[in-house]
Amino acid sequence: MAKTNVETTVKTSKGIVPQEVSQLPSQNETMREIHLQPAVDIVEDAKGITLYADLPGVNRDGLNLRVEGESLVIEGTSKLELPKGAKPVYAEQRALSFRRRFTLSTDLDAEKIEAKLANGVLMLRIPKTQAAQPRQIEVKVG
Amino acid sequence: MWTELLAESTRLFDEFDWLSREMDRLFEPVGSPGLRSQLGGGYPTVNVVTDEDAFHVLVFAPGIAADQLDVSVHGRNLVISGKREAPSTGDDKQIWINERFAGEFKRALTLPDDLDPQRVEAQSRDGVLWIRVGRSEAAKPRKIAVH
Repeated sequence: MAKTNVETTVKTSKGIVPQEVSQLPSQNETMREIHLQPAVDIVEDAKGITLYADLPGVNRDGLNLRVEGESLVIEGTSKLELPKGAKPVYAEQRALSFRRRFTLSTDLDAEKIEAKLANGVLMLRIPKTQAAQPRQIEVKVG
Repeated sequence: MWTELLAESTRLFDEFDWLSREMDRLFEPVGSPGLRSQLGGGYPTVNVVTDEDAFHVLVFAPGIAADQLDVSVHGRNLVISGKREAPSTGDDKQIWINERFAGEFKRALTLPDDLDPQRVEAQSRDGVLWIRVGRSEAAKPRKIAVH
């Protein structure tokens, strides 16, 4: 089942928190304007957070990735072109545009985000700031 | 292209109702869905469009490379299967959100009778598999000369 347009507000992590979508799409909105929320996996390790997002049909040109203040915004539009005169008869994938927004916490280094896009999956690596990375404290045996 | 479908779907509160209606609409001309036609969401999602020459099945399978997908035709059933790996995890890793499907999947569609299962072409790009099944020559509209 495709994700619905309404984002959940459940706080799942202290590091990266999904934000609420300001409004629901109105009935008059066309296909191009409806954005689905892409499914994501978010995994954290000692050095940072890795985010995977499903963006089928989206290539580099169709991807818009940006940091707005404390927000990380993932937007993508599929360039899928259907044959002329084709008639849709069944659709589980109900939009070809995706958008999702996350809040970046201050322990993450937004300057050093790395992105990779392959086979319609976006992988983002968001490192933690030096100060936020765990340090081993040596204990001297006296 | 999908506008009319979407316009209808956003009006419905119950998604399952919408899906079953869509399924009915798809299969109406050719009877009920087959027992092997596992339709109704999940991963990968499937869209179907038709034109005069062919039946196009779009399989939205992000994360799957072309060589990891298996597309086959068994009688009138088009079967798409494959496996998607979960992101690597370890003792030092914490999973905060896990929405993406991982594991083996199989989707099947019963093809309408006027298609030629011998004429199947598939191509994959950016996580979307496009399968085109040609209509059989006999089923194409034909002009009959009147003498």
